[in-house]
Amino acid sequence: MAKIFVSIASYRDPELLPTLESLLSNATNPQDLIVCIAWQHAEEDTWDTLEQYKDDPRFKIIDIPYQEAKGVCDARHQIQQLYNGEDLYLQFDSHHRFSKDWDTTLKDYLNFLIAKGHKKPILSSYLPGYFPKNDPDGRNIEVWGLNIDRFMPAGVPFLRPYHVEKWGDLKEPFPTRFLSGHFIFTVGQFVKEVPYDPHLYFHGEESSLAGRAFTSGYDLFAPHKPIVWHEYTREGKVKHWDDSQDWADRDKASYARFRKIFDMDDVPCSPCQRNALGLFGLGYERTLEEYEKYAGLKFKTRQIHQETINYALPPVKSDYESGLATKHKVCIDVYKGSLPETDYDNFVIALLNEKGEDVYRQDADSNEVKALFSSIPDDKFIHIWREYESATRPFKWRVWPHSISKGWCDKIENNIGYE
Amino acid sequence: MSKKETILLHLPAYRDPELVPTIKDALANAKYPKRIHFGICRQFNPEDEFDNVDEFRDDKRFHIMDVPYKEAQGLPWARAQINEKLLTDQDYILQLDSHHRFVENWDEILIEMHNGLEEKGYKPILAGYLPLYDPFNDPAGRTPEPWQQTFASFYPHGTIFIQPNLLHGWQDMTEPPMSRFLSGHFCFARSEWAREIKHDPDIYFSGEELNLTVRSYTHGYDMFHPHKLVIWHSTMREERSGMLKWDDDSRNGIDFNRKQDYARKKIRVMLRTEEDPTIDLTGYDLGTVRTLRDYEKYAGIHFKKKAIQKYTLDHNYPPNPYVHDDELWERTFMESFYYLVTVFRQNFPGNDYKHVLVAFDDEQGLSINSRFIEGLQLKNFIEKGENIHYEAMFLVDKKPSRVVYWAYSEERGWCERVEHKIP
Repeated sequence: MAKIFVSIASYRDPELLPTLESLLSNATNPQDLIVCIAWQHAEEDTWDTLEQYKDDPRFKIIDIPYQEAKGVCDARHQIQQLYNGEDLYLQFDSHHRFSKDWDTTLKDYLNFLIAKGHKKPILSSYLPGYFPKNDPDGRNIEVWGLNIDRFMPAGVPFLRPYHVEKWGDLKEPFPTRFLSGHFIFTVGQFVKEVPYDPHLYFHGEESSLAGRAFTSGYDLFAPHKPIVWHEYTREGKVKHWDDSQDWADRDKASYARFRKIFDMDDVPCSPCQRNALGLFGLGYERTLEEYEKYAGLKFKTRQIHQETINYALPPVKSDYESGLATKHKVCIDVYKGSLPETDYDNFVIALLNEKGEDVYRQDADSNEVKALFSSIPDDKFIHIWREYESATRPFKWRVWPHSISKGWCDKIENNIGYE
Repeated sequence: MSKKETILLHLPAYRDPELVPTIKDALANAKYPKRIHFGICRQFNPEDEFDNVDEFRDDKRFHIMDVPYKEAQGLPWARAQINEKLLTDQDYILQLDSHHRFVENWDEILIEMHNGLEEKGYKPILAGYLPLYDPFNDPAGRTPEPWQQTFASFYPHGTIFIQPNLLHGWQDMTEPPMSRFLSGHFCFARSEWAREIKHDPDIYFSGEELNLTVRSYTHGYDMFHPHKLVIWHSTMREERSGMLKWDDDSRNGIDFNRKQDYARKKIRVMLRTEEDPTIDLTGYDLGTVRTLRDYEKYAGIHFKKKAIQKYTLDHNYPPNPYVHDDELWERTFMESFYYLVTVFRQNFPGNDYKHVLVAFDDEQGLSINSRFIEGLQLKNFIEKGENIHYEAMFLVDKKPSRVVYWAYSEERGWCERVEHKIP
């Protein structure tokens, strides 16, 4: 029978053991699983001991003290080094639940696509959620997809899940633009053709993987029924960026690499740059332009096609160029320490171009101001979201608070980081 | 071949000048010629003389049944005679036609190939559409690469047109790849196969291979293409023009079509796409080791829908990717597209048309399917004003978005044109 190489990146996760139990006990053919775990753990944690699997020949455990962990992409990269020609590849995190005979069902979906002529299909999506404290009753019996919310200022698409309406009417896997890191099921050769890039940190993992896979000849699909669930809330769990001091630097390097892969910066020789990325760059079976036309995106200008905004299934069916919209979505983070008053009633909020001219302005009224301060009381920042369509990228933001007692206070300004 | 195993060469010969050269080439190239037996159903015309086999008659390896050609009842009948009357205790059967050439040590090569598969747990039949040799230019005219049997199309009556194609990737193969179809003119298996899967004399030429294929598979046999050059075949149609079975039949007034219709109906009943209680399949029905659906899933073929999977159309080797869930499996097939074509005479008033194109295109204007209206249909259109009206049916990956009717005249070139959107 076809062997499945299972990649599990776990970081001090109390859900690891229940996840393994659910994986194995619900498989039709548990003997065909080769389970490889990047076990990033702390000596003092008691919840994720792998004692019972240590001598199981199906298990390959990479023991990583948490202080040495370098993030999820690096963990997945290490796991892939132990791939040994298994027929199929399954990747998830370490907090999941599986439905009965999940392996038979997923193989059916993949074989369905291969029979229809997709030589290298991938099944991937943001999975519906489950709640460890209320399982299985709390599982979302829904199908979710993933789509771009916006290009982040640094150029990386910010992805978010959405509910697929009337998923009960779906009869087969549906095409998708992006891959999710927390659920991938595909042919084994994926590991060799689109290997995990250890240089990426967190953001950029998923959208770069989709572009690399598509250009390497993979066809992207999402399962049309709920088969596997994922825990999103992660309440009270330690994450790598909680323990790691340097995540901000890593993120920055990761963004730069993403822009390199998608040729977003003006560089003298983009083919040389692409070659230098080697197997971590785009594939050679399709071009970046083909991916952009499929997904309804334009990386260099950070534009999103109207069909993509409308959640239409890929590929783009209407005209590509004329359908591209430039949507800017900016999050203005203001340190609460610079807002000492207690009676603000209005903020002037503006986005400025490089010359310092206003390109967009929408003020916050007293209700919004009140909401900004009350949403997360412990947060050291307030987060003001602004979204608009324009060909010009905003360069800087300005917040000009007004207080009832003090009138106009000091203007607060900051550049928008594109790196 | 340590056990001195014997092979019966199954040779149905119909007035074939290549019969004797085939026998001699098989013996000359066998590693163990003493273990090669011949079962020959020789359908002869005494005037021909070229197929005289008297020199072999006293040889114990030869089992010859002579049938005056006027008493011949078709190829499956001749094959049935060999398997039922001439096959005795030989270990293997090599089913051929009667016009072949052989590679050196072909017997050893076939048995090794076969037994290698058997050791892996298969019940193998090696089957191939053989590459060609030219009787008048041999060995120079031999095709230098092995072929495979591939799906070409469904016939309207429900059987399949199988055609040869290159056995892609053969240079790198270390063992035979699996096959969707048997070949009438080359099968190598344990002789039990020939006893168990009997040739049905009712299956008069067309559909013979599909019939044997599905019955063998459902009886538990596994089909493979030989991955090396072992035997060559000649179509022999030009050389023997006027001397083939159907030529003689038509001269003798046998109703070839009526027999063919019955044969096709019998296959449809066997394939469960039609019910007819008057047709008796006893002795020639499906096996019970595997189901018909098992074959359909293995081959990526849907007999009832007359549909196939893209995977099959792309000539990928079977088994096709297995889809356990039947409802999902049904959805793997290319869609059957149907459109009622009507070309109105008033839109095409010319009297000088050479043909009228009926083309189905996708949204980019790329052709999905097209045909030319010409001949009698065009004549009636021009002279009697009869609209061109028929049902267009074909398999599609994606539905056409428009149909174009476009007339062509020798003097005016492409002229009148009508386009309809397909909703």
